[in-house]
Amino acid sequence: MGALSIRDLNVWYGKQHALKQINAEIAQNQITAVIGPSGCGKSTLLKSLNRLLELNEQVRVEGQVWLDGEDIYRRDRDVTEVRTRIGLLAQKPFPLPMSIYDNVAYGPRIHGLARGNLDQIVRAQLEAVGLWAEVRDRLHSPATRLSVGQQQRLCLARTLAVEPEVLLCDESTASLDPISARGIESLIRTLRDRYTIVLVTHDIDQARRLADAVLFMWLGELVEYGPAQRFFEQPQEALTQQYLTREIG
Amino acid sequence: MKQVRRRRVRRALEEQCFLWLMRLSLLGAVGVLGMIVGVICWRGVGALSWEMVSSLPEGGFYLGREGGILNALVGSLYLACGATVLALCLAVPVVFYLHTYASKGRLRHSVRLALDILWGIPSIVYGAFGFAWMVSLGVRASLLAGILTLALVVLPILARTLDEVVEMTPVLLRESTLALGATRLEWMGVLLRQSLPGLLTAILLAFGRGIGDAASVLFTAGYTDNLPDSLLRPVASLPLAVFFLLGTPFPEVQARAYAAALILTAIVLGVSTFAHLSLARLGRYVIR
Repeated sequence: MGALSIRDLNVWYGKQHALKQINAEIAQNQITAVIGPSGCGKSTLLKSLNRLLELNEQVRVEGQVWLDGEDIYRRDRDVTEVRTRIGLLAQKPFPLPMSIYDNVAYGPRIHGLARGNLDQIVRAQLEAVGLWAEVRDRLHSPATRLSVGQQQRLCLARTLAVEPEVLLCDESTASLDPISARGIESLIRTLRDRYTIVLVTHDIDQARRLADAVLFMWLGELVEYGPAQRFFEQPQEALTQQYLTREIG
Repeated sequence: MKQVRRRRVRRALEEQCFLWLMRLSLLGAVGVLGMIVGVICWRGVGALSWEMVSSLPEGGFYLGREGGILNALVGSLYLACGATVLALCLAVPVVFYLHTYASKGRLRHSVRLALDILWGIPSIVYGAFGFAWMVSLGVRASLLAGILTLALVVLPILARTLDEVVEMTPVLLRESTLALGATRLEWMGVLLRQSLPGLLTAILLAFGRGIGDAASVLFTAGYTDNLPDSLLRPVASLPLAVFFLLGTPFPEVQARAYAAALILTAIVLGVSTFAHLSLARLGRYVIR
């Protein structure tokens, strides 16, 4: 469950061709890191995977993204179902204007997953992200009272509470302090067994630490994609070599 | 060195100059408001009594005999509350539609322009418009006609203020909510929670304008010395009471006009204070 297949994906912002003919198979229960310099289309690729991209009015998407044998861009496909199965952890933590409890409970509530045991779901998810002990006494205080690092863990709990199969992480540690960033990183590592994770990062070292497979992008094109070990030790493309040795980027 | 020091003196002087200019403007703005309230208080307090707010005008009230303006007080509250609620029922869906479902920026732009124009139209024009409709439908001046006309007056205020508030919502909040698989209607629910304090401000502005407007209710709501007992009967209002009382040649009746104005001001002040107190509660969860 949760294997993604990207086929002939092209994205335009107005006239700008942002993603050019991307093809990739993303294996389930693995961490796939998407790396590349700023503006290469990493985030665009990520947001095209849960159709969040189409919120932008000028955007045009062509091609297909298959999740478990079904195209998420199929015309009659319910976009909310796609986004439920493919969760996103954004760059900056952005709690909903509600209490800590309601933030986690929001997804299960709207999707009718609770069935009377909402308290248990909230507790389980907060425990899974290591936040329960810190917030158990103030579950009903506003989520904005938490520190930025705690907020990001809350956002992760909120995303996991809707029971996705795929987890997209858009530079999810970039706005955090080093300690919180490490916390999120180790959480992501523990989630690998249960979710397919696609992680956009500008930090090559983070990709090295976490990734099972790496996808390298340059100016909207996929340059190289392969298992992490081979990618870092024997990159096939000259451009990848230059990027990894930081000659470019 | 000398040049640097001279420049520093000049910049300090500049700052002081503008600081005092700003303070003067502040004094002007607050001063005018203070003067208005001062005059109303000074001339109206003498005529203010419990009888004034608790009884209806008796025969000869406008000539200085006994009675009060309860009819106008209740009428104004009915009119302003009714109009605000009605305008709210229209403004919230309009604004939320523009920000969630209307994908084209052009529509949003046109609606904003229309609302801005409506905002600028003098309320007497709304009154005339309402009156023209009433004549064509054969309806007499009534509470209902007053509420409908006044709702048109406050609609642009409500809608545009709310529009500005919703516009300030962080883009990422929308993304985070929709990424959880929320429908656009569910996103509206989150947006409403986020906009609650702004919505309250918009309601407050609309109510304040509504309760103080005389021209729009002049033809449409009419005037009566009785309490409103039906939506289809005429109703009195405070601004018109002030207008009628001021129009008499008797100083003691004119003092009653100032007392009525004082009551009007007190209502606006009271509602505004209540709103600010509840703002802290409503804004508790808002993402900044």
